[in-house]
Amino acid sequence: MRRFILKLRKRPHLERDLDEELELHREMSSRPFGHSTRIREEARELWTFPFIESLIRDFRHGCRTLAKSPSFSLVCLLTLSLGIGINTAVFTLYDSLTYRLLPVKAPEDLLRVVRQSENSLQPVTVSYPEFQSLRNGMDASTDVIATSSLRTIFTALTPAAGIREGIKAQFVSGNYFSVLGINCNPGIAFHDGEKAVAVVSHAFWTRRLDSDPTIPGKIVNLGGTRFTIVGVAPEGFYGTDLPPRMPDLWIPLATQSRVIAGSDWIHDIATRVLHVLVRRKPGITVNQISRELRQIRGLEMSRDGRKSWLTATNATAFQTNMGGFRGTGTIGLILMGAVGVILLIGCVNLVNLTMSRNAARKREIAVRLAIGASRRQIVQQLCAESLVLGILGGAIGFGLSLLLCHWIRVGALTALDWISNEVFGGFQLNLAPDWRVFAYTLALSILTAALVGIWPALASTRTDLNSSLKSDGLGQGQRHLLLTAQIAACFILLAGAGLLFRGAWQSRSANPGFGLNKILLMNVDLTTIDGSPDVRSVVLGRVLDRTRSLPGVTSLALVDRAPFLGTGSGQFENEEHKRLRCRFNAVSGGYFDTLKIPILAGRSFSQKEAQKGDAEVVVSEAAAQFYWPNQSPLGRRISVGPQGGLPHSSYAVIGVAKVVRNTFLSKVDNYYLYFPKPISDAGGWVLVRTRRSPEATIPALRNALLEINPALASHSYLITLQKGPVQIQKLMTDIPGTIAFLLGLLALLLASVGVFGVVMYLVAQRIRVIGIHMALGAQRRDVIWLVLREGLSSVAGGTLIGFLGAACLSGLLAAFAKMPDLPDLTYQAGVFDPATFLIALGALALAMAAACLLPVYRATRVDPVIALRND
Amino acid sequence: MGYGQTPQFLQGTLDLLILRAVLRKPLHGYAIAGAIHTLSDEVLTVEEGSLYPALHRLELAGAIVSEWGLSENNRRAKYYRITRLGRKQLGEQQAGWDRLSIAIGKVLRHA
Repeated sequence: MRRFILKLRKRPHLERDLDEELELHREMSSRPFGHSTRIREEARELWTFPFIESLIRDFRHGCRTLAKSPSFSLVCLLTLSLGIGINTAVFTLYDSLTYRLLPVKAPEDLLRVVRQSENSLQPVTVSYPEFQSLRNGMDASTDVIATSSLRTIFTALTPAAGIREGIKAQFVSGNYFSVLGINCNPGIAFHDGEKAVAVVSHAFWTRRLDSDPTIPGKIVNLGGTRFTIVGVAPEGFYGTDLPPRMPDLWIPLATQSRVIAGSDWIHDIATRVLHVLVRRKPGITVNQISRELRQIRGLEMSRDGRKSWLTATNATAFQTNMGGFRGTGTIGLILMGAVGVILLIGCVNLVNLTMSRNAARKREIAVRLAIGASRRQIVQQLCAESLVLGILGGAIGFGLSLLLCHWIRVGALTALDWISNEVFGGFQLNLAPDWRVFAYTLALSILTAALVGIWPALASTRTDLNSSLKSDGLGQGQRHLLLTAQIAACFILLAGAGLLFRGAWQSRSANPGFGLNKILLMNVDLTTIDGSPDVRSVVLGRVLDRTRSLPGVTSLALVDRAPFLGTGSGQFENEEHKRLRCRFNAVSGGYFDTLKIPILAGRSFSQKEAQKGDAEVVVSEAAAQFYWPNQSPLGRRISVGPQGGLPHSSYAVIGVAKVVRNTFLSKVDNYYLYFPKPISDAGGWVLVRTRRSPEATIPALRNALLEINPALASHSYLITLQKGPVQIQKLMTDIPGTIAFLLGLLALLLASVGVFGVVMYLVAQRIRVIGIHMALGAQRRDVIWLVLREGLSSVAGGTLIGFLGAACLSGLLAAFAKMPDLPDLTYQAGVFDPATFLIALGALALAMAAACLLPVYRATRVDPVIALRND
Repeated sequence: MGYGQTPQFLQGTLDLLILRAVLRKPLHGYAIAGAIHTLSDEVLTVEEGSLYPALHRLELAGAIVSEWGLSENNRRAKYYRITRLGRKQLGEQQAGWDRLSIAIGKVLRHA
């Protein structure tokens, strides 16, 4: 170490000091002076860091040689930065969905309380009394907080204007900000839970309150209660909602009944609306907290007929380890694989290019080897060049990924906001790079540089001095292997992209089998209302009556699950115990009229039957055909398997409905059962068919809700079927389709560049051969054949392998589509879609032909006289 | 005594001689060579080609340190001063050398 410092200190003046020292010696000495250069060299070797300095020298040399061939460097940089940029952008997306923690102090110590049944985690909400027993059951020193989800509260923010607008408020326990370690300007937000105080979010403060610095102390009226704004949350704090959404303001949980009239969360044990978070103390593990949670009495729950218990999991922004976001990780990994392949195609190009370039420099390399450079030195120097390229490409790629992420973020937020501001407003997607992204980019840059550098460098230095003049450093086999792999990878990507893009295209004109237009959806969440089940069902009845009487409404239906927003699924059997997995829904009598689903035989429920919840069922045509082939299903019986959830055990078939798409827009639900849905305290969705535009009915409907019950209005949203669920369904295929299309295009471009490079190189190498052939009377056609012959087998082989790969891929997609919980991204294109494959093949062939055009043209223009005289 | 007749230095003896030369006061390179020359009754001549690399080696090893000073003819000169580590090394090496030379002497006398 001391030596190292000493070296560092003396290194800069070494030459000058040494000269001066020797000069003095020479002057004083009477004897002839020895060889001072040798002394100097020996001294330099002592005082310097040979390894590092040779590395720096190699880097300098690398930069110089790269600057000398700008077109080569440009192609390399472009390929690398594009490849690394896209990869980094996809990784950033994956990273922020999977690993991003909440914007709080020490986020790694924050845990969410969730429900575990068997091996899967599900979100869970509890009532306030349950929250209290949870808190009491935990270790006293553990901080526990409770929050509601976002509630829309209608208020006139500026009383003078008198316009009521929806404000997104989140009810939180009094310790919320102190436990999360969020310092609200000015000072502490709220400790005491009883006071009517509010903290506004930074976004709301800037957007709606014009960044008014005097805002603390101002009053905002929420549901008739005057709240004093006590602080502004710091910028970037978007709360803990899942998925992350920014509330406009936070208010104490204790004030809930004063804001939303007609409900009292604090005292009602049945109102389960609270999410729970726990901050663990240092040294306490997640498992310890989970054990504590499991032992709390009174919180054992069996929901959906399955035993489950409370547990804790590390809180992340999206919580992709549970609930609706669970598939995100897999999709992210698949996408990362696809962009990885693109980078690989690009790298293969660069390997080819570098090999050709090294071959052109074989004399330089041979000379240097001849005068005593070691192979390691030359490899090190060649690698330094590609490392320079890699790092530069990585840096540019990183910048590119920032740009891409910005577009993704803006695009996603705009799309969500367009679908429904009410449902998705304030959605947060933080795509700023963190240390993982930096590390990933750096690793990727170095890895690609190594791949692109080391292989060609080893190849071009492997040959002994004699044969280096004959060989081009890269075996033909290797070159063909690379070309084949590249074309295969490209074809697989193209075919996959084709299938997904076809799906996105199909989604545009997909016909679910019923009318999508002029349908309005309204969710009715009765859990927000205080009172007995009877009170709740009366409220629901009033909502239905008021809605029916609104002008412009032609019919309506109450359903358990709205179309394309989830569906039930279970085993059902007929009298002969023939068993079938069916999807099911509970609907009121008006359902088939409202959606215009044709009843093919029998009838649908009458209003009264539905209300009574009679043991009657309407089955889909395919289900009827399965249970009672070629017989009339009317009057037959279907019994419910052991999974429960339905009031009766056996149902009589009263009607047969046409098969429609109900779960996903991309798949027909063949086996579907409709059970009667009574007006009860369970709530559900109201489907409203309107005479003209459904949007025009929304304000009147909202006012009606407010009049009936403000609590209901604060948590029900209104959306048209076309714009909401259908749009989400289309996005399911549009987003993968568009991404796949762009990636396929990029792969095609890269592969063409690769083929162009290889053929160009082959032509340049064969100039003499071509010249001889021409001199011997070969026709232009023969020359073209001569040039293309060699690459053709690679192209054919690559296409064949690609074809097999693409068949596997489409098999995989078809297998995905068969899974009941996944949409069919290809829109039933099946396992093997010849049209798509042919188009992919055509595109590939066209691109390859275009890539060969210039080199082949050049080959046919070879002048035998010049070619033969040339070295 | 001319060039080439200088006895070959045994491995490591040059370091010993240099350390001994700078033991009493700091000297510059030429003075060190001179000191060795005079102290050996003009038997030993140190070539620059060996001297300076040896000096640098010793400096890197921490046995001596260098600092710029003025020479007797008012020129800037690099003076080498022995360090504590250098003194320790000198002691050890000298003891080793003594043992060696006595041993060699005995062998030669009995031969």
